[in-house]
Amino acid sequence: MDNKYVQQFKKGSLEMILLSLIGRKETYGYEIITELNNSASVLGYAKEGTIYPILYRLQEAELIQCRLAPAAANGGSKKYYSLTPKGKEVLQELIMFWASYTDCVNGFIATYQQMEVSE
Amino acid sequence: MKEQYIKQVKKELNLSRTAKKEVLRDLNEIFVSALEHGETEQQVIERLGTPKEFSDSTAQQFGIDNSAPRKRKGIISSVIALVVAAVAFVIYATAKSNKVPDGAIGQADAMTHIQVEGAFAFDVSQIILAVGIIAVVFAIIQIVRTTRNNRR
Repeated sequence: MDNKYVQQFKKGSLEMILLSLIGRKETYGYEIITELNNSASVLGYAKEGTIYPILYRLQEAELIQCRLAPAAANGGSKKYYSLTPKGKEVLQELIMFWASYTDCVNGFIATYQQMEVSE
Repeated sequence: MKEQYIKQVKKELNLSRTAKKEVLRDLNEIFVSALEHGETEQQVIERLGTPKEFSDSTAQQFGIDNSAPRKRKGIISSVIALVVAAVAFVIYATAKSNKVPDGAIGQADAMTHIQVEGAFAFDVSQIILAVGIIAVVFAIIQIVRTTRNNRR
């Protein structure tokens, strides 16, 4: 399933998923990508080109912060992301909204399915 | 391959210096992390898309139209080319209008039999005309290119 309606869902929820992921524990780019690809295959294949831009936006909105830590390999550095207090707050709100949102959508689906059964 | 890719993105990416530095650093980390986990540079590049695609979508997230400076450059170079063409044609036209008969010396009224070899193999005015024509062609190419990019 990869039509434009599904695309819209994914687009809208990816920020929340990333906030949850980062809120769980401090994490870095590649870990985020592999995590998404291992446990969220319904979202489709995660690419850096999609994830990094969202990380930039979340960072600009001050929902996440990052620190650079030297990486073992070839003297490079790794960027570790974590939630800011503001990010935690926003995520809480989003979680609450998501709960009532899915309730609402499920309600419509349930009435539709009941009608279909009684017909 | 990785160096080339990053270099190309550096060229294409239109962001403030600090934002650009950040994106390029992250890009480097993307490559290093992926290689660490046994991926090849080719695999990473396939995932990232062309340097231009990557730059455009990244700049978009920063709210910047990545093609803006390219557009501006196109417009500026077309205007310059048109001005050069106009100047060249004006010079050519004035040169033509008070043209002295071929082979005349010191603007004498009558023809002489003395042949004067010019410094150039052909007439200077012809060179100017050629410059004008080249400038017009260049301007047209630039205008077409710029407007086509706008539409995309």
